[in-house]
Amino acid sequence: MLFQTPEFLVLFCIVLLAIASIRTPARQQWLVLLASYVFYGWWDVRFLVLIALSSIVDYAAALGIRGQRLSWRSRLRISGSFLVFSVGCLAFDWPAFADTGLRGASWPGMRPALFACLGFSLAGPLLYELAIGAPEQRRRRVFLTTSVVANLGVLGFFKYYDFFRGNWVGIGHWLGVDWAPPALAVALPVGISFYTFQTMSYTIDVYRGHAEPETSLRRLALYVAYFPQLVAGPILRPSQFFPALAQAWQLHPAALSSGFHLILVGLCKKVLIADRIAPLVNFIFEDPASNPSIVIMLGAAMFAVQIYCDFSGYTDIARGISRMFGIEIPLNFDFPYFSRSITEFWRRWHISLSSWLRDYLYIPLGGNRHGVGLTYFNLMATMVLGGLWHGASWNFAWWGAYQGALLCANRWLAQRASTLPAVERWLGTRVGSFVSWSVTLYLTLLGWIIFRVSEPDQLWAAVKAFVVFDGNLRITAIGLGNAAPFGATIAFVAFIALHAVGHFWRRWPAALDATPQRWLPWIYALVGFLLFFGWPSENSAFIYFQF
Amino acid sequence: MATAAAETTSALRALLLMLIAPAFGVALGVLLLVAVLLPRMPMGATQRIVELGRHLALPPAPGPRIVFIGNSIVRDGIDAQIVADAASGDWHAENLALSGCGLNERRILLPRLLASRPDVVAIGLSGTEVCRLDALAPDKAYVYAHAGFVSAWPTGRTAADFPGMAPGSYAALRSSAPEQWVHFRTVPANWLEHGLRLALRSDLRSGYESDWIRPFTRTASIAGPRLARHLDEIEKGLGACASVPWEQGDSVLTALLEDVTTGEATPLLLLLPVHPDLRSSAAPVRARLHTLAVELGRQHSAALVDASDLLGADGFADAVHPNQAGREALSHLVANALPVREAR
Repeated sequence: MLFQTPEFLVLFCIVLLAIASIRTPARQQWLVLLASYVFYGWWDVRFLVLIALSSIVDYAAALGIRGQRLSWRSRLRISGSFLVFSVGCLAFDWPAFADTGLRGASWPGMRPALFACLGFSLAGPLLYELAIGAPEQRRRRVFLTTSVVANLGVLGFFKYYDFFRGNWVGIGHWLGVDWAPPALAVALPVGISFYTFQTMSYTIDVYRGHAEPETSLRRLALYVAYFPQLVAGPILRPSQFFPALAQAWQLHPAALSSGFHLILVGLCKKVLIADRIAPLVNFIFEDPASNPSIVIMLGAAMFAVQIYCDFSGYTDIARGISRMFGIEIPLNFDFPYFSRSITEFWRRWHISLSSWLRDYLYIPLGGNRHGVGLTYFNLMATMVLGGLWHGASWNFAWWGAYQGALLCANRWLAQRASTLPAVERWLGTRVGSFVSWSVTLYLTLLGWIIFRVSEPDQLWAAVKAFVVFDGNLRITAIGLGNAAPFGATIAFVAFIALHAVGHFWRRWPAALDATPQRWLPWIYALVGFLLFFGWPSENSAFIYFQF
Repeated sequence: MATAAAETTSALRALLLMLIAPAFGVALGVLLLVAVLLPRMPMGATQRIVELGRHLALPPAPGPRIVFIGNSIVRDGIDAQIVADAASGDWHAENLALSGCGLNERRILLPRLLASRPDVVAIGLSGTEVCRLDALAPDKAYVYAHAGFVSAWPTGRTAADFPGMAPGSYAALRSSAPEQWVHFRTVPANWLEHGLRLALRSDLRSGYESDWIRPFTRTASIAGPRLARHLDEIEKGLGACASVPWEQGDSVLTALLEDVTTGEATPLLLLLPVHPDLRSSAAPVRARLHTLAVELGRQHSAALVDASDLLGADGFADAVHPNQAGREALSHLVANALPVREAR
């Protein structure tokens, strides 16, 4: 279910009214959990099984890490419920309300999936018994490993199986080996990368002693499936979510109003800017090799705005919805395009992912504690894996490697500059800041080309056109037909102006919060008016849903 | 407790405001659109469909009449005045071709067109419209419904009659007036895009939307790298076309010809000119199209005019669209193929 659809509006209103009328935390949580499953199942009911599986494994693993034994009765109740739920999701040909093209009575994976669920329901309670009785250190490690392997296994299978199979076939053919794993054409569950990372952070935090294990499966399931941020983050840490479940939620006018302002700003970013720019970006990058440098540069700048407005628009809506419930979701974007270094960019772009990668990958790898060489290696490894997290395609790996290389170069230059006071002073001046910002923006735009173009030949041509200016200033190469270049240009210019105002003066949601009450109805009406005329003919999914 | 209840009440009041105020803005938008913009503002690139609806509502010209349907190649390639003047007899000719008009789209507009009782319906074919049936953009589908083409359909037409069409587009064809209003919120943006496009492209002509005699849009020919890019693009399309089955396109074209003969008009199949630089890569598509046209022509007593090799490179404005010289040559060729008909 997309945020910008009527069905979501209905679901959201039902949840808000129900929260207003239900007073007990448990019932409210059940309700939001149910709403989250409806929200996710709208795409494809079958994939709810993965969310339930992830919730159960991590619930049991976290308790096991702390040595809190689940009784046989609890285990059998959980595994029985899971089995019934799985049969309900997998054995019927539920309609896919969203147009995913995934449904079909002839779904070949139904029987293996049902057997896997049956196997998990039968073996789970027994394996738990074996693991819970182990000595403490071993028990902790076994439960943590189970959680990590289960989550990464699901992620790896659904997201990377076909990618690695394809590469294996290519390499095997080159080596003269004809054997290849079967082609399964595995469908990618929406948002799997987000909820997998979120739920892994829970068990890892429990293992590290940074979080308490959750004794209620309902609360943990809600943490995994919480619908405002389920499919595209921000990736929440346990400490950012569970405290809000301690008491009943109550609707407060100020929180409702503030959340609504975030939703309005997010919708405007998505509908009036990102979706307006998308056709032109798609046109330019459909065949980048046929476009001159000026068009590729424009395309890169437009894509930078599109992906920012699309993703940060989603985040604003997610934060706004959650704020209306009373759960504060942290900031995920902090004006990244105003960064003056790549390191700063990664502190401002997709903050929840970059901090996740830092805390659960870079630091465990050793971070910067084992010398210069290993620090650079760790940075590269973290960013390449972070790149691949975005999708099963080599261009994401290249993009990650590119970002890793930039971070290494940034680190090296910063260390060099710190020994040269004159350079440091110059970087602090307005000219120095402007130069740093320009270079960072240029490198970021180049990175977006690598991110956007997946075909190697086209990618090379686009990168070359971006780096080596061909002197051709004829911008008429831009499609003047279906690509709607003028609407895209207006949206692009409007974004730059509004974004600069937001950065140098005040964030737009905060500005709306501070607006006198008597003006708000007129502002809401104006936004409604603009959204009516600016809403595209067809609702498009958020870019990060595919990750 | 009383405080909590009061807070809940004021929260619900705030929620109500959040629903009502934007809805008020939307309602104002709808009002502005329906009362002011739609009656006055052209629909941009799809305006020609609206104009065609209006044109077909007028009484047809007396005497034998030939109408041309097809895509932008026909639109730019036929000068109806030359056809009428050069043909033997008292022919009246009209070029009703529309940009991007594939076979499904032609079936959409044909019932309304046949109601005006033309004698000959000339159908321009380049091959690609047969191999790739048009999915039809929802924008166009809503305009066809709005301009009254769908209400002229014979009873019993379903989505199955339009293979390859996107389900959303078929739903748009069958949409109600309020649904169309909501969709046409895109009209101001489309109008702006179209207007700016015409203003900035010096090689494009405006005012063709309601021109049924010389509705060409290109006033200059491209050359050099731009032409090379366009040729490349068309060549790729032809390559993809050669390797796919044509059964669906074949069946839609057959149905189209049946529609024409049922409407008591004579079909004329016009195989459109191919750029000399594309002739070798287009050879498989041309051969298939020719065979198909000969076969269908025989079945439906359709005349066949093969203009594939008619023009040299100097007859094209780009890789596919004829220029002034090409237009004149093609129009004369068609005129010469028409039988003698006198005014009744």
